[in-house]
Amino acid sequence: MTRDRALRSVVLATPLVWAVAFMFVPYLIIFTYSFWLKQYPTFVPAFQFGNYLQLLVDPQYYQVLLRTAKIAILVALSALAIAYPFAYYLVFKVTSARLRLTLYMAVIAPLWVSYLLRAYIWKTILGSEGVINSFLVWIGILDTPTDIFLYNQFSMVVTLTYIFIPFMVMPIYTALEKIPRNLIEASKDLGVGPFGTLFKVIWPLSLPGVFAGMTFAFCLTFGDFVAPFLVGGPDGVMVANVITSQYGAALNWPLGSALAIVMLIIVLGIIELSDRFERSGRINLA
Amino acid sequence: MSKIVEIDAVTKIYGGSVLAVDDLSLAIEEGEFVTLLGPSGCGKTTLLRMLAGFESPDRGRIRLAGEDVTDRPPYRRDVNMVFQDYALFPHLSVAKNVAFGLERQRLDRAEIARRVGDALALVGLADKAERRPHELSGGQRQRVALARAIVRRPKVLLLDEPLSALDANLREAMQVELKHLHEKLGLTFVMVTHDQTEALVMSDRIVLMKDGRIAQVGAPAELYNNPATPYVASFIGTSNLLPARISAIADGRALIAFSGTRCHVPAPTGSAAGQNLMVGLRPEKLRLATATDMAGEGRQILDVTVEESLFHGNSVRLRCAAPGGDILLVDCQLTQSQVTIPAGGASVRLAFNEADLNVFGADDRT
Repeated sequence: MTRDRALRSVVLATPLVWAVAFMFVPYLIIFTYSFWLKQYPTFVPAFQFGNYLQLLVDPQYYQVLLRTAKIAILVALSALAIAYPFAYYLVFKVTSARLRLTLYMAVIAPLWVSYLLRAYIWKTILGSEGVINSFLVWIGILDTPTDIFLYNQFSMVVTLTYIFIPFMVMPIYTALEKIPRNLIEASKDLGVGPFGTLFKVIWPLSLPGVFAGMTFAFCLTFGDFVAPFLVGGPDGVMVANVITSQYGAALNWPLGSALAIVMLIIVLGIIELSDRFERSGRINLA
Repeated sequence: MSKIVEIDAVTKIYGGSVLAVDDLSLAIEEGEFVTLLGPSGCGKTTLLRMLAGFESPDRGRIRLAGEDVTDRPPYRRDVNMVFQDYALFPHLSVAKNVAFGLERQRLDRAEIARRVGDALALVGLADKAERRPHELSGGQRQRVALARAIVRRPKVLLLDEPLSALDANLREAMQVELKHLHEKLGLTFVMVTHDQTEALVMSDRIVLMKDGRIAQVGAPAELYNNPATPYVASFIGTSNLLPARISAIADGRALIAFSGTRCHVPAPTGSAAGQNLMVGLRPEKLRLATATDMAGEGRQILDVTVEESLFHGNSVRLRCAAPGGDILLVDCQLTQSQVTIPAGGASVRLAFNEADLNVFGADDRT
């Protein structure tokens, strides 16, 4: 009895201790840093809001936040634009269960490939020596390779969309699959054609999956620093890169921490918002 | 009366080999309440779904009010369906559910609101218009489904086991209500059910199906009293099915022997003396004979032994063994509480009229 209880405590306590020691404590340390003062060559303990103020007034910082948000929104929308029709096709058009599983796995499989590799692939596709350029030169549209495809926000959105599409497909697929087929039949029975049924029945009922997927894509993009590093170029710098440099070369941990806290708040805000949306739109399908 | 639905030699095969509906033809008159009845897997639901347009026949044509609709999708057919589990849109209010099918028709808002109001009032849910389906009880959802289907004034209303999800009391009340609704609207109703009571109570005509074919079509009383085959006799109500043998045939009447008795019945076509056949006798057509009851004038007497008696409240069902070993079920109405119920082991005399016998040819033994 006591041994069972002891065992249970250990089982429950382990993840808790883990989360506290390796998540909450580091967050707390970063939170503390965000109030410290930069003093050449390093920084000293203090309690002041100068770092946060700097983020608000210095265009260099709030613009990077806005740019990151813009890219995150573009990624979420383009991933949705690709993932939704795909998931729709899988759930409603593919009749063979085997083919459906194969296609689904084909989308999910890249998750097992190194993230770095997946980002790097796009360098070889979009680069001046890359697949697209070679092709355009070969068919004669271009005389010389162009560098317009790589090292800009476009290449970032393309790369990140590709990387985060599985996170969009999964929840949408699940949401679509949960829609009872007889609701679709009922819609058609009431004289509403395939498009009307899509907009009036299927889309509203799949919104929880859409919200979940958009949240994934937005939040994951918001914190990403590899894609900007590999395919971003000068105008593709995002928040995470700025934080990296504040902790590195700039040796301004207090400012980096303030930026990290702002980022955390934005992401948590988005998650909370999407959760509320999902809750209010939650529909009793039973 | 004109034919509103014509099903012409329709065949539906699933997965290349499962014959769901087999060369079936049926015409339904305008304003009729027709029930497709049968056990699960008999093809009744497939047939209904082909009328709705959810399945397309592999062979044959379906006409609706004279127009061939075989190749039309469900949203271009003037029929509406009440789904088995209602299929109400969970994200829409009751009123929006009912209005769903009207919004595609070119009607102005006031007209839509009026028709939705009328439909909801008809099913007694005018005060629930703004509720969501999950806030309603099963019976109320059923009514919403009904309102949604009739609001478009379809040529034919299709009902797919509409009452199967309701509890017994509610089901009985809804049977009557649906029947009244049918009379009030004058619409053609085609209902699928596996519940013979439901079919008997509600329908103008019953289409009893078996293995994708029609076993018998007719008014409820006709199917009950004159079943075409032993299958019909045993699916609708209960019937004692007894093997019999023709002793002699004369003037279109056959003398048949079964369970230790002999009866004169109309000779089945193509029958001959010495042939084996099957007779059916409903349990309530047998009664306990008094000592003075004698055979004759079309009346027959059977001597049997009671094996078991089951008390049903308003009646008692006796399980009796005839001399040949045949088992006979007998239903006795307990019209007076003083009626003595024979105990197990008692010898009793049973009386029945020859006219109540159903005689089946040997070839429709199924």
